[in-house]
Amino acid sequence: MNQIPQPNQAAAERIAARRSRINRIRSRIAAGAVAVFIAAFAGLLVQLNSGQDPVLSKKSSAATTSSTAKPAASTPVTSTPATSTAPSQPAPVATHQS
Amino acid sequence: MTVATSAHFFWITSRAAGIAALVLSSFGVCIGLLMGGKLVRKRMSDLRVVHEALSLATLVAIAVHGLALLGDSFMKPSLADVTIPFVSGYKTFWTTTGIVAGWALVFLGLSYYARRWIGQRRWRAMHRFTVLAWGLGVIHSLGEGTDSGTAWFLAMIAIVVVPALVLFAARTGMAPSLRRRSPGSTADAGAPVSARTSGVGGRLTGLEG
Repeated sequence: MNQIPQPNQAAAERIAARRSRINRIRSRIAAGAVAVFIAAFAGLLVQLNSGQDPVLSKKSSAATTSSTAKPAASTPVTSTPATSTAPSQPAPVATHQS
Repeated sequence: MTVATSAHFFWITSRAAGIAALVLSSFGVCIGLLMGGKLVRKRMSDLRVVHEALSLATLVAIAVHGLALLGDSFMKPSLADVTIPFVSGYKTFWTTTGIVAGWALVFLGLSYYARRWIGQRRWRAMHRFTVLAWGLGVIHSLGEGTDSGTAWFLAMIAIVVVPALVLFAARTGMAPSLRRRSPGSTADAGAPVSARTSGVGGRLTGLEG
């Protein structure tokens, strides 16, 4: 036999149901916010570790460019000992006369 | 990998929190516009709960976004740099835009809990400017965001910001017709005509927050 709920009891049940729905919504939003943060953090981490970070990749490419440019500039210096070890072939001298 | 992560931990945390704040605030603005524009009539009380929860989550994300920078070993900003406009020497304009947007969102958002003292009508009028604060935040992210030049960031901005802009445009365009149809039903029916019609505030006054 179904009991007919008293008005107060029905109202209390409705309030309790609403309260639990509100709590459920709040916890879902909080979980969603944390999920967005973690996803963004993980994405940025992957981007950083794959060398595609917008700022750091610029720095590293600039560093690479400068580091590749340095040996080219210092080539004569490093090659000097090699030429100096060959006394039979003196280096050509530009005289501006020809 | 561990070295890179630990060296940039606070920086990545700040960027991730900024992204989260942008996403959450955009959803919050969308729901606020849906509610205020009466575009959704069912489950209004649930929407209000979602709006409130999104707003609080946004404020937490903004706090993490600013405070995490304090631990960044490269920039080494002071508390004043991240909380007071025009103090930071790093991209001063964009940083100031973000700080102003952050504080505006904090005050406009938390003013909800002080409605009794502020007054319902005054609070509604204030709350409408949340859209402007959110817009400043979007501008800050585009101007100063480390990832603002990347395709994924621009795509994300488009996904979360464009709907809010469309809703805002729809609501501002819709407000006069709503007022004409039911002049007594709008919350600002008793507001002075000058306040309803002049400038940005007047344009926004037709909207319910």
